[in-house]
Amino acid sequence: MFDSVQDVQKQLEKQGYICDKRIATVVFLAHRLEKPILVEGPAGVGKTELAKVVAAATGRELIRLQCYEGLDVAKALYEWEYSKQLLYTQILKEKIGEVMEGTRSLREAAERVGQQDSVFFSDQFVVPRPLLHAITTDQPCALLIDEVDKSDPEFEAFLLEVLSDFQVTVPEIGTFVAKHRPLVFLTSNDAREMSDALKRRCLHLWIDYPSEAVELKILETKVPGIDRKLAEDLVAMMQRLRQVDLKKTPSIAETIDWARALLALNAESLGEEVVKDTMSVILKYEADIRKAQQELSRMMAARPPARGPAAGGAPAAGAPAAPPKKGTLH
Amino acid sequence: MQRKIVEFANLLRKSGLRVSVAEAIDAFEALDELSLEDREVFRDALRASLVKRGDDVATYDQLFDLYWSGFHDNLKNAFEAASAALSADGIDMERLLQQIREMLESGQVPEGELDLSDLARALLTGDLSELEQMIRAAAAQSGVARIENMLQIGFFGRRT
Repeated sequence: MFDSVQDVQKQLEKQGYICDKRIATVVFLAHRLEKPILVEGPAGVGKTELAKVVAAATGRELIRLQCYEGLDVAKALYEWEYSKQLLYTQILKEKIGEVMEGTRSLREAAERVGQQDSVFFSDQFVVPRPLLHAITTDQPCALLIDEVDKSDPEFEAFLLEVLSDFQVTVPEIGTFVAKHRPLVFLTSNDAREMSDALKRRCLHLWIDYPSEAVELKILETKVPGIDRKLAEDLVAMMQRLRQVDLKKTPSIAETIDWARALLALNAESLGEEVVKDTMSVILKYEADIRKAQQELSRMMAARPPARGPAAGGAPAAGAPAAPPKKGTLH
Repeated sequence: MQRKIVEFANLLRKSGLRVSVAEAIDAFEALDELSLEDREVFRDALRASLVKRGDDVATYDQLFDLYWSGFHDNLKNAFEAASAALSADGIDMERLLQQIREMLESGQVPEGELDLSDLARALLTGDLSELEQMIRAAAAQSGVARIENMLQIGFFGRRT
């Protein structure tokens, strides 16, 4: 459990998640007020990761519901295990015959079946999907509803209901009420705006691309053993690339991937060749790669040729010239 | 403190943010859980409860700085003190302005001889729209433009 905002930061850092005080504050509040957090921001900045590390830090099981267009209540809440029900009817054919004995009409037979149907719609035939799982679990858990912006408004309305009371009614069985309120994280890539009602229920957290200093710290945490100078150059380049108008802006995940790729290739520094060869690690569209090439050549040209101690001073060593305006490469 | 939060929420609303009553209540609850000494934490807590769209974050930050730095209060107090002082002196501002206006219109004091600045002229002729424009221009320069409702507590606006 978290004692304070600093405590949150420390514990998350122990899990390898570097975050600023703002993120820690919201996590602390969500935990204390038992409110869900709606985490919004560009792809790859650590929204899903946040849920994972908070679950780990608080010792809770992480239950994950991945949203997609067309996700319906059944897939999220529970389903009847139809195949199992069918199997049981087959196996119990004889017994069913006994029960039906003495009935003289179809109506009577149907009624008798009706009296027994609670057998086939009971606990053992329910397949709990993530939401029901989160409600019925004995231990406190963390619930991650990932990419909630991909779901449709119908699902969102249903989610609202569940999030307010944390209880679910299965008509044939009864109502399940959560013993412990889960710690709920909803993540959104901003594909669409969530409804006001949902936002009102949640505390809001906007995670953006990190600053240079923070990204450097993240890189050094996730890729231990990376050369300091290489890391600085890498981060400087990534920060610069994000200013360019790309189809898919690379995020922290790409920075880490690139660092790992460079280490795997035993690259000691960011030479022009190495950068060109590994471009595809961070950029996934041809058009982006072309735009980036231009930007990077410019950046490489502006760098001081001598890479001695004089050049390695400030973290922003890679861009002595002023950064270009956005949209220059259109 | 609660009153101030409600006032702040109102300010946000006037500047285009959609803040519901429920969210203002969330803000109260959030503040109960935190020590109010750390300004950053205070700002983050309010932001998490009141600001639900990424686009609104910049506006929120600006308004937070203006409101909670006491500037908003100072402005309001200054206006109130000034109008109180004037009425205490027995000066009926409205009547005075009317007289000056008549003076200017009737030509008793030809305009050319009085070296009136644009601002003075606008004040004296009661040209509210021009006055408002000047205030807005000045406010935009100083970054106060965001406090929209403040501009409505004007010297003249109070008379109705």
